[in-house]
Amino acid sequence: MADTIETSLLVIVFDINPTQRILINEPHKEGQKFTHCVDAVTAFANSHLMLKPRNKLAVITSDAETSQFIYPGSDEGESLLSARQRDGQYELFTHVERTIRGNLQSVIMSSKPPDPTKETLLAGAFAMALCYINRQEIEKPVGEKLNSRILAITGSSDSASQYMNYMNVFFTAQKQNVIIDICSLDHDLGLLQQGCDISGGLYLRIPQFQGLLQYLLWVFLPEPPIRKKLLLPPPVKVDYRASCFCHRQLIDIGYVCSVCLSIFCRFSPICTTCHAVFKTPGPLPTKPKKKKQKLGLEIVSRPEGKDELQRLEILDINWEGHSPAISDPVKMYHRQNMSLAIAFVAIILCFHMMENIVNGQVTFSRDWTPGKRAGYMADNECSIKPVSSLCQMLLNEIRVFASCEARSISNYIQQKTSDQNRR
Amino acid sequence: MSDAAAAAAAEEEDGKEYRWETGYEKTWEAIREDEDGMLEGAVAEMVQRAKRRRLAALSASAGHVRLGMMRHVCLVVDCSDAMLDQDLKPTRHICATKLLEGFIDEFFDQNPIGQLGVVVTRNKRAEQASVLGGNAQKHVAAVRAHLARPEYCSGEPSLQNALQLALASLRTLPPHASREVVVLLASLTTCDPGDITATIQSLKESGVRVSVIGVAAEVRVCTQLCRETGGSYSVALDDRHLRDLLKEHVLPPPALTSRAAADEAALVKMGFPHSTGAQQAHLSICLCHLDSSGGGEVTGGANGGSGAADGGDCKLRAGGYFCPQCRSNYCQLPAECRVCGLTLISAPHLARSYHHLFPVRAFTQLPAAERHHSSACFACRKSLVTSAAADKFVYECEKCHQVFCLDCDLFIHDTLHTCPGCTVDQRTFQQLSS
Repeated sequence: MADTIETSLLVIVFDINPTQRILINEPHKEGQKFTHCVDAVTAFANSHLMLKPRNKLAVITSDAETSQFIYPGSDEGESLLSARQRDGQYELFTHVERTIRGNLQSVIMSSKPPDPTKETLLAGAFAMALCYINRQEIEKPVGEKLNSRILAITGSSDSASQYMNYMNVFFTAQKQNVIIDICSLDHDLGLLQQGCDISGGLYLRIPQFQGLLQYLLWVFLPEPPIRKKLLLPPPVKVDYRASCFCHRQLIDIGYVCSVCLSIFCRFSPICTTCHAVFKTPGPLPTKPKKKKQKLGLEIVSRPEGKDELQRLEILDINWEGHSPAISDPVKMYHRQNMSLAIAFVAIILCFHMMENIVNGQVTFSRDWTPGKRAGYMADNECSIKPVSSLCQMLLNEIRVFASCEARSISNYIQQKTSDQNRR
Repeated sequence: MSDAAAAAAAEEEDGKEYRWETGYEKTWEAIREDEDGMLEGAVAEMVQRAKRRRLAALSASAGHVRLGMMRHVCLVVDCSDAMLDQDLKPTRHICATKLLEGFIDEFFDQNPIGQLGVVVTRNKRAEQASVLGGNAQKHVAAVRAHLARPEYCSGEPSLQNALQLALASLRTLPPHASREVVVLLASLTTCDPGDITATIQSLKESGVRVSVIGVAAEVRVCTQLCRETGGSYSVALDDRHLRDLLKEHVLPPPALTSRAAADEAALVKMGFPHSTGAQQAHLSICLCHLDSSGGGEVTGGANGGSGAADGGDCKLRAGGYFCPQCRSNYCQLPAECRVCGLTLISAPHLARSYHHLFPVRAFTQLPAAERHHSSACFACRKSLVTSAAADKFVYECEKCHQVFCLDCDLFIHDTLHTCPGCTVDQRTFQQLSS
């Protein structure tokens, strides 16, 4: 009772669109390609059921018009009982084969004549498969673990028209821990590759159609926990770049509408999808104004002491002798309709700095000693001297290093020239 | 005076009278016996109705409402000693931690381009547990580090401090972002340094939408707070209800109408880095884990150690996602480039958010007894004819007229966001895509 019973459910999505190039029979060659494909799928389905007696199976066919379950059939229980052993074959296999063939036949007979402009609606089939898996999750007995995966076998190409449905399906699969495997018979499928990458499945474009069953058995039959131990085709590099809505080009940097999330490759004032009107990008309107005012103010008040007001505010350093001049800027602020609050803050700041006039002094004398007006700095003195010596040391080090480098380079060049001469 | 009168009037308009003011409810009368004298059917029906309640509410609000898609949510979590009460099992803080973890995961699943921040309040103070960002693990860790420890939860909360801290982080955002605060409040009291109505006003002016989920009981100041800022206020009855209430905040809310709509829309510049394989890329350190190793080095230096990085997270590696503007490396998306400030996302993340904009229309409920529809659920092949009393109804999509069972109905609307019937039919599919 300790270990949980694990069941694996495989849903095969089988693309039967008659316009697939790979399935169309070539007249001068022997063999029916579609029949070959159906045989391979049936054999694969049976071998999945053969791995463990608890394994479950579902098969969905998909074409341009509709998607349908062909296994399990509409009357599950009864037909299994009626399946009698034939040629010593396991009853379940007979049943699977008979159901798949019978239902496939009825699907094909009832389908409309093919329209080559329409593509297979695989996303819908995936959605059905996920609903089926969800039902099995709900119905499973307590204590059982269901590993579900979806395998799509398709020979059609993919286009962006189903993009949203595909993405919904892929993310749902990721959330439900369902793995999506893709076996492509013909084309490279960029969108479905993304699905494999998101859900953690395998993507394989088979190189040889004749060996379909072998590829299926070797690559897609092992359950996901076993796959780690096998040497399988390496994960493909998936291109997740977005294509813009305006030109359908792949872009690296784009603009996204904040309302409807449409992607554009360049700035446009109106969103073409939701008709929202955007503000034109640019510097904020308040910023340059402020700068201008300040510049004007400084020129009027003190042409020699630029930036000092800002520095006073930011660095909290007092500059002796300039405090009377600050009353001028205050007036300027008033005149230029600046808010009273800033002036008030400036005055407070000024008084505050008058108090600690000496403590905050910074001098730039040559030998790093404090200036004449500085307070007693006994504790700092010892720490300042080593700084200068450290600088000296560092400079020496750099000098030595540089000369060493130069010497080694010249050595190297000499060696090289002598080598060449020897030759 | 007029303010008070207006507030009183607004309260009247709410039309919500308290439970104790209503007439006596005879809850048992809702359950009726069927012809055979069985109760099963009635009970099953009630369960079913409860399941679909959220969907019904969803379809009622459907319509072309502009949603705040770029969500920036500040989650305020009360870590006061009121969190240690045992009315939610086992205790409030353990229950809340579990539910918040679920909420954070769900939030990023549904809003991959959204951002979340966590503020905790306790001992009359508020502190930022994690800054606004898109990394779910970081927020879950922050919630776990603060809320999960019973010894951490102490003192009184301060709603005003928490709101101000949240506002400080939300105020600087660009105008197109939707700003929200979700408060999980367990305490019935708050210890504030000043006038909270002024804070509410400033929140309102900055266009922040505040929603409160109470765990204890309804508090008037919260009612006012939510009404003023356009949020929702609800009090959880039990853990399930609390989970449902949190879940309501997973979906993006309609954009606030108070701000001019024209101001809000903006084209946001975003980068779509393509992951480079390990073969051709050069080695680099990813910038998203730079700070964790930096912290390790600082502490190592303080201990007098060699300052070795705490390993694990920060490694030189090839591959990753490179910012298309400045080529800095990130190991996961979505992220905001630390160097040039570009928002980096991948196209599927945007696509993940589209379903909020194009939701699946609610299905119509039909009695199962009517035999004009097919005998099995279209999506999962569950038989609709021979099922138990629980499935008295089936659900039909208005577009493709396919019939679904209850479970599929819920699954399609909650998780899948795609109607299988519409997507497999070429006719309806072309309507969808056009």
